[in-house]
Amino acid sequence: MTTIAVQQFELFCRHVSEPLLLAAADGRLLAASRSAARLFGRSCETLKDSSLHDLLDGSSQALADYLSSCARSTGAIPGRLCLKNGAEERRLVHCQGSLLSADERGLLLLRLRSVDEANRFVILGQKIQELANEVLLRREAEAAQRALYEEAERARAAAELAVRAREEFLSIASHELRNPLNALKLVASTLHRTAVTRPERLSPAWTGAKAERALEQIVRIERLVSELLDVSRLTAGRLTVEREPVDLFEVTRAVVEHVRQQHPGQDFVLVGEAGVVGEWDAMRMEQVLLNLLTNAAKYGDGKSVTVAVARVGDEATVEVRDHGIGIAADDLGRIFERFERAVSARNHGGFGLGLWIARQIVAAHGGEITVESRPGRGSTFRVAVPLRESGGAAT
Amino acid sequence: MTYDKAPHRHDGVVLIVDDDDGVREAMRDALTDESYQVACAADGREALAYLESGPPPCLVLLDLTMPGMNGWELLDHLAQKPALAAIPVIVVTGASPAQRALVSATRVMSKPIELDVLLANVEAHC
Repeated sequence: MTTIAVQQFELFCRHVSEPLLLAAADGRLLAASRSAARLFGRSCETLKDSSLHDLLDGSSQALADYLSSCARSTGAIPGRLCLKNGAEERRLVHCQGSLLSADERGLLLLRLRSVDEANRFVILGQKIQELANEVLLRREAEAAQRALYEEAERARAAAELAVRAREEFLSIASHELRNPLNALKLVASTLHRTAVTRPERLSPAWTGAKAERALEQIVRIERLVSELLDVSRLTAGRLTVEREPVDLFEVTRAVVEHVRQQHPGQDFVLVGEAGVVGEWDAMRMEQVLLNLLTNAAKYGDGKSVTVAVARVGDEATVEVRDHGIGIAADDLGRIFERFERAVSARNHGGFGLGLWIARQIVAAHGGEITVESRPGRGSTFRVAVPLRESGGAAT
Repeated sequence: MTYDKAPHRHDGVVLIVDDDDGVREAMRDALTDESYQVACAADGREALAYLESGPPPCLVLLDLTMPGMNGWELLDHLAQKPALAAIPVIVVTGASPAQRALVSATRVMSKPIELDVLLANVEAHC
């Protein structure tokens, strides 16, 4: 009766991996595909001619009703079956049952789809993934927030540092200015007092000497104020460099002369030749050289200072070498910072900004100041600047 | 400003101790113009050497903040020797009131120094 259909089904099943059952409307299982048989935990052979009522869990009436509705259907009827396999495990499957052949009375094709553990895991897996994503997103948000907070903290700390540095600078500035102002005031007071009480003492020599004293202090004040202005300009990024053709050797020679007069008895040896011509801000370069040479005189321990000007390729270099007290290795990095002095002697004057300003000026020319030093042996400061501006505009 | 018109002749030496060249010279000039004898020291060590090596000055004008041995340290040294501890010291300083309070000196003169205050103080001791 159903043999041909069963044979065809079995043949069909060899090419199909789905769990399929061929059943009679009365619940007799005629054939099963291999994957369907696996669901039952049995082989296809042993399943044949079994009754679905025995193989399935649940009420036989419900099964009978399902099978008869499949037999009457024109399309596939969904259902759920609970399979009993050999180990008495219950396996829930979805079923699409339909009438396969109207010739045979109620030949049904049941297409099974296991409500698989795997599905559950898939869903679980999806849920886990969602949770993980959520956690990840939350962690990223927290990390971003922390980064923002740290950034804000850094900015605040930097701002605090800047404010403190400025306060310290103002305090040092006002302190350093007080001395020359006081000296100037005393000189002026003495002049005034003498003019009032003992005008006969106002000889040209005496008055001239007082005026000279006054001027010395005024020059000191000028220099300090100028440093103050430089610092504020440099800090605000407003230092401009006005280039013009300049012979660096001649500029150096002039500065050496000037410092010689300020420090009589200090020996300076100038090495090099005229003709080191480039485009620089002459006044600013003078400032740099003045600072280096004055330092060399102050800290040179009275020994000879060598100043060497040279042109090396498209760079000009000035080396100032003293044989004085030198600078400790630990301090070498700091001396170019603001307010730093490797020697804390305040009667040397200035705010401790000279080297910092010098470095800014040289950098504004596209160059570099470096230093080598040995305590007790002396220091060599080296300025290297390109002969002219390279490429684009200088800031 | 009114001034006493009579010139003075003075015995004794005023010792000025200040690390700032300009201030030291200006004070010295102001005092020598008034016919005082003046000695100078640029830091505590120089001052101590001077004080230990000769007759005591009539007055020491002492700056507090100096490199090397500062004014506080010098005062400590002076306090330890009875002969030196007796010398009148006027502290001349721009240091803060808190810093000045740490000092037991005859008197404190604040910077900026007024000429008439300076002269009045020196006259009182010399």
